[in-house]
Amino acid sequence: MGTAIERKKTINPLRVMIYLGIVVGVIIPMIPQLIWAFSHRWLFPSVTPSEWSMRAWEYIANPNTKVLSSTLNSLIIAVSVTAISILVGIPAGKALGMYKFRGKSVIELIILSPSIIPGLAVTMGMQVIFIRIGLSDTMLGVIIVHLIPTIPYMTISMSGVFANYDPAFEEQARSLGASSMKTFFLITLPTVFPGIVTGGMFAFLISWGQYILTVMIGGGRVITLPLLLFSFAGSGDFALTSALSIIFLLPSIIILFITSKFLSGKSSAMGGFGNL
Amino acid sequence: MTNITLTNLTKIYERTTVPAVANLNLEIKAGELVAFLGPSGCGKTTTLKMIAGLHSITSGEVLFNGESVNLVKPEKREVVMVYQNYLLFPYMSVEDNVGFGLKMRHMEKAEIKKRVDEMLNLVKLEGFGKRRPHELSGGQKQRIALARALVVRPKVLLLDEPLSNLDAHLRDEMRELILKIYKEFDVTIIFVTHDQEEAVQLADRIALMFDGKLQQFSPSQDFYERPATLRIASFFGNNNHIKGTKKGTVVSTAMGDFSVKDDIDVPDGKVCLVIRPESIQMGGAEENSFEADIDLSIYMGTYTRYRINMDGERWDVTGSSHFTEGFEEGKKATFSLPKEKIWLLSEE
Repeated sequence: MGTAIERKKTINPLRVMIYLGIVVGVIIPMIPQLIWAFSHRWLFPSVTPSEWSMRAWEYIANPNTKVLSSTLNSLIIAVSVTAISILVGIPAGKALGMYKFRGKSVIELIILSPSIIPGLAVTMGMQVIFIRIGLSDTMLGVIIVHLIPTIPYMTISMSGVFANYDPAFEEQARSLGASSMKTFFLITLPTVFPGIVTGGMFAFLISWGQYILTVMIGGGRVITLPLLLFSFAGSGDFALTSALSIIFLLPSIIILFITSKFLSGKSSAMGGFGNL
Repeated sequence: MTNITLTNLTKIYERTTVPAVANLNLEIKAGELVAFLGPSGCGKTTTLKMIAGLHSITSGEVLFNGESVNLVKPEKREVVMVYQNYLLFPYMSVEDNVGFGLKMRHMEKAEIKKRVDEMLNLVKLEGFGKRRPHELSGGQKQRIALARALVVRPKVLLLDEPLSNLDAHLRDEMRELILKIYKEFDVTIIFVTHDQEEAVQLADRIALMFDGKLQQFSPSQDFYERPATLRIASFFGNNNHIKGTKKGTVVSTAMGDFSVKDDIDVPDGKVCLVIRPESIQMGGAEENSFEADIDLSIYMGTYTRYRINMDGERWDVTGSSHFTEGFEEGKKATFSLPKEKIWLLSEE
């Protein structure tokens, strides 16, 4: 086992591969889009656009268009979905990861079932119910339907975190004089925090990128960024579509970079128990 | 100083019927170093955790200085447990780990720093404060775990298998450190181990447990010289025994008559004669001599181990490697049992 100083000097091959993967798989394919977003005319044989323009960005920044309001909608929905998934996923994941109880496998199956059964099939049925109870065409309805894929995801990723969690750490803290409250905030939470962050970010992305579920329950009233993007893509306005997709991709890219830091694991405070 | 009394302490885990600890009665003196010894699953760690307040008690009581602590929360008991796998909080520096207990007691930062440095000094890891637990070796982690426990000046220190994860040379170091701590701090120490040698080398008294039940609680010497049952004798490496009939100071067995001390508190009648492998004398003597075939001899360096056979009765003998002449494998040789080394168990 090396010291901290030695470790900083060596290049972690895993980290290099992750970054290389991001560049080749994500950034390079985005370059044409980046160019499109600032062009007015870009016909096939030419390597660069014949005319540059800020038109797409002016359209996006204009408060009279739906772009800003739908981005806001997307944000509100994705943040709410993430928060609820975390709140449900932590206790559920803890139960599945740490305890053995009767009917555990049945409960696992029920939690997994939304990701086994096509979401569309479930949503069709839910739509009928939502119309009846008045949740159809509302933002709340959309948030609820987005939870179908995110809660299983969050629960499974939290159960993985808790399966590796040693409850003796809590006992150790108690025996050193920490109250149960302090033990939770100083010991339990920091230990599972990387798992919560990673799971939460993916829940955010699932909700942020949701199209079908939003259309079915939102009924065209609740407009989110993917809905807007789809309609512009259909209209053939490449410049605007490209500009919108850049905004749409922004959270994914930010999250990808943050998680790659978590996943390559040695970053001090968030090392979790991986380095024990 | 805290003495600990356990009265009828019982633990039955949920969904089980066999108690993990059954009706344990034990009195540990203030400032004593006691070992809970037994094979894995015998309930020793469960008992430790009930003393720490980390496991609920099914029935019975834990008393500190005569007062029940059954309802006292673990963080208020001033009992600190050190786990076998050290459990250093991985996202905290060594310093923060050691200072954790003091921080929980709302001590001032400067005072915490001072005491933490003192502790790191004591465990000979000064200058390691800024490191992270994953940068330490196993032995260093163990010493930090001890420092973290001691810095809060606990009344009782509980150690779970303190030496079992360490290499042989680190064990000696850690054993010395534990004894040093024991002398320097006014603390009652209870440690758990499955290794009888470890228990003997460290503890004032040993509580031997099998299947959740206390078998014998006495100074370590007694486990060698006066085991309460054959199972205890065998746990301490003594499988030499033969049935016989005691009359006065003579025990008649299939191997002949043996005279024994007159102060063994066993009534006349059916008995079991027990003798340790290292107590059997090589060669004849005035009394208690017998002949046996040497089935096996293993040279172990300073000593040699023999397996001897007396008409189907097989015993182990440990002898000095200086006197091996005439005791070669396959030969017949004379041995004798020193009267004062024979121990008897009543068979009734």
